[in-house]
Amino acid sequence: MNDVEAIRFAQRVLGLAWADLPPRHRELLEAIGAEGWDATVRPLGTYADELLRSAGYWGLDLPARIGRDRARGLWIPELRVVLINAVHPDYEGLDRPSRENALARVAWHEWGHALSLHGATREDVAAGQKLLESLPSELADTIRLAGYLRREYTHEVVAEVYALLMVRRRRGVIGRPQWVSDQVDELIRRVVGWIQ
Amino acid sequence: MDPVRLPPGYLLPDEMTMKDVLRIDAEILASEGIDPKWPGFGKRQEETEPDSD
Repeated sequence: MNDVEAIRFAQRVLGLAWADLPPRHRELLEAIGAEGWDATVRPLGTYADELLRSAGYWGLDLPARIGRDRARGLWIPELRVVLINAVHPDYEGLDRPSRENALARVAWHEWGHALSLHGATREDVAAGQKLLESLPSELADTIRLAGYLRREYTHEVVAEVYALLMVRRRRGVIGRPQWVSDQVDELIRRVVGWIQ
Repeated sequence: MDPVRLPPGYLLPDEMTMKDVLRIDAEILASEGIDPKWPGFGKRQEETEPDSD
């Protein structure tokens, strides 16, 4: 898949993943400025910096740009857009269904992250470590070992659980998963307006 | 004007890729008795509650 094909493929998946969201979530994401999406072949920190500067913002400082260059997805609230790196090396070697699954999951993670940033309270953010420890261990490790700051844990927990709820919903499965703790369940219900 | 402060983006540990994420997802889904195979974006199955133990 060349770059043009990769962008077209990712844009198609992003559109389908957006359409798959519950209507109330789309409305909320529109209200908080996360309704746009785009796919790029550029490292996301560098691309976001360029987009921000071209829109009249001051852009990102160097550490912020470098840190986001390795991201698979990135929400830019100022521009109301979620960006996806369509050619991240992760996608090499994935068959088309797996690539579609992976891209959709990144998008759902980013939209869940936006919902969390909008709705989580200071107390929720302070409870991040405890929320993280209540996740299935391998899921918790993907957050703990990724380099996030502790104050970012709550939003990452919401984003990961939200993405998995969407993955389940795509399979026709709703309801509270067995692996979601009472505290995460309450948080998701309150912040996202889910679990169904 | 100050530099824009963005969310951190979707990051994974250095030794992990999205292939690992899909594997972990599949294990979690399978633990609930859910078919982990990606169904694509065709018509969604009728929504069901997972079986309770």
